[in-house]
Amino acid sequence: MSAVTSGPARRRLEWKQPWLYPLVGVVIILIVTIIVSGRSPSANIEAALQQGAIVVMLGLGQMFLITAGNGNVDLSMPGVITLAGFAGIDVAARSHSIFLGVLAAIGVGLATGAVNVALIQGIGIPPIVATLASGLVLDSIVLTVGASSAVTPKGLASFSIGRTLDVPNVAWVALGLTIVAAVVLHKTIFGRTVVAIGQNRKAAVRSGLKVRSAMVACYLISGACAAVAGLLLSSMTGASMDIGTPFLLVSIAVVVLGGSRIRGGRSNVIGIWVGSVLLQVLLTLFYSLHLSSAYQYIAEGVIVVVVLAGAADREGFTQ
Amino acid sequence: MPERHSTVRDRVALTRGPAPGGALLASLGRVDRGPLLAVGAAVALYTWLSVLEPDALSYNGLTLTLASTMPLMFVALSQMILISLGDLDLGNGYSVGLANVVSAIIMPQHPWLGGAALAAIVAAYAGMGALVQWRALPAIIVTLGASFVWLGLSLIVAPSPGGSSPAWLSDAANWNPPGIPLPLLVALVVAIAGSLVVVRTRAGVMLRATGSNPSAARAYGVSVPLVRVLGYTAAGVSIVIGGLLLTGLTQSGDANASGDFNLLSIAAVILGGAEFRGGRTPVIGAVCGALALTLVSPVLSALNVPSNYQTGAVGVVLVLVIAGRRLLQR
Repeated sequence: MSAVTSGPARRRLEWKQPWLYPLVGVVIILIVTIIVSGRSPSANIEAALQQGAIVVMLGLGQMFLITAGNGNVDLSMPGVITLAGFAGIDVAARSHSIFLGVLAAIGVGLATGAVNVALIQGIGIPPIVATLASGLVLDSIVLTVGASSAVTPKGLASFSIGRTLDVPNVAWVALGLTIVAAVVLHKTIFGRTVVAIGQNRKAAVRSGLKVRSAMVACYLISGACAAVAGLLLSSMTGASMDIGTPFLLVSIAVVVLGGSRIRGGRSNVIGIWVGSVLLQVLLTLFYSLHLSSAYQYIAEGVIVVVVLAGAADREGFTQ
Repeated sequence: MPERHSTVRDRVALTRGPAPGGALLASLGRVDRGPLLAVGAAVALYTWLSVLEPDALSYNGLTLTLASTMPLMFVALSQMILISLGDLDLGNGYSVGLANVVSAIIMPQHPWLGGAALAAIVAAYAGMGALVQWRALPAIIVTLGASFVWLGLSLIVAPSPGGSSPAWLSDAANWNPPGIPLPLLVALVVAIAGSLVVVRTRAGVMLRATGSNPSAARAYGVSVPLVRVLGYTAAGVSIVIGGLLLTGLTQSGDANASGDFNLLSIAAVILGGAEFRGGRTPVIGAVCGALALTLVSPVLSALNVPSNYQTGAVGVVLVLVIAGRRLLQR
């Protein structure tokens, strides 16, 4: 594409956001859902928004890593979600302080992120294996501490399922995190460094950017996002052993669906919301069709692969 | 295949493969020292186990302790092929689960339908290879996406665990060969046959060439797309064999039971001496890695370590192995 200089042309280009197609998909699925169920799907929208907000938080964490390219991804997220839920609720219940509970949960996320990045940068273990392995260790910890689960403190439970201005609180949290993420990614040196690493790590190093500390921050952010999402999720439904498992694919899927480049170097924050909403309305449709979760899994898998294959075509990133 | 390529292909075989006329032993000896760690780990764990539990030394003890190695070996072999191509299969826990439920639920009643479904799994693997190759997609995301499809299909075939094993399959998986326990016999056969294929055949040479340097391989006249698709196909076949063995051993199908195979297969291959960059095909290492990892949990059980820690232990072992190797390379 040649350099765009004129104002109107540039504005036109900005309208062509990569999440436009997923958005069209959302509208089509909504229409089909209304036709199939014969009524507006508003009954499920609240649940969809809550679940979708959780996925957005996870997607934001993955986005920083995927944007940084070079195979960075966080496969320990399910473990963090689950353990942060247990730890946060347990600490909050014992200390009668929600603040301490939140701290404990985020601590789990930050600690995991720190271990991940230490394994990756310190020892040179590929991110996939490092995060997979740390996720397994978390699984073992969950199996051990999970047996003694406390009752969710009232404050946490009511906040997580509550609503403010008719919008679920978790959606507000997700919105807040999204705005912070967008500002950090687009307006700070750290954010631009992350994008630069994804475009060309060597060039980023040569130009004197703080590549290593930026990667540390990315993994800490990813851990913290998963921890916050995990605590909220567990507060909604009660902490359970495999609460995080279904979220690994979707956390990556929404980033890809939203138009971030899977090989890094370009990200789209708004796209994460579109991707998350797309997956949620799809679930609503399947719910209206009375299809089991098996079909939902298949649809999610197929969508990810198809969108990815389509995106590859659009960008032509054959090396 | 075009005739004019044959000479360059032969040259690849000459430079990358064994010395012409080299003895069988020499060609097996060419496999680098990578697998030593896995072999050592398997032997050490086995020795440790036989001290803790003398019964494990007997024919029956070995057969019982190592039974679950058989499916894992084939899943690891499948993972090894993808890793040697520089890819990674994050979905094989559930693809082996699909092969498991297909052979336990569909096969007993409709052998042909079941066979066709298993063939479809192999075809799907070939399709993933084609997708990764021609769309230049990251294999981890494709296989992760596929894992959800496998799981969904498995749950449709078997909403709850059940079914039974076809008689021929149970007979095969529970056969007691004279003198040597079946898992060890299978390990031996797979290690030798696999090594021969990888080291001595043109296909094996092309696999390693493609994995270590695709553009160099292309320059030598290797068809990289063909190698990748065939590699994925072979990986699919190996997955199906693993699923069949799982059915024969457990006598039932369970969509969710085999998720652990994913990490175990990666760990076995890495323990066996493979590199994530690709280009290495340590068959013996992968087989011994599978044996070693199977022995971890009986050893931990004999030491009264709660089973909760066993998944984590595998993760720690995986990290330690890679870390150790990195430190040695420095």
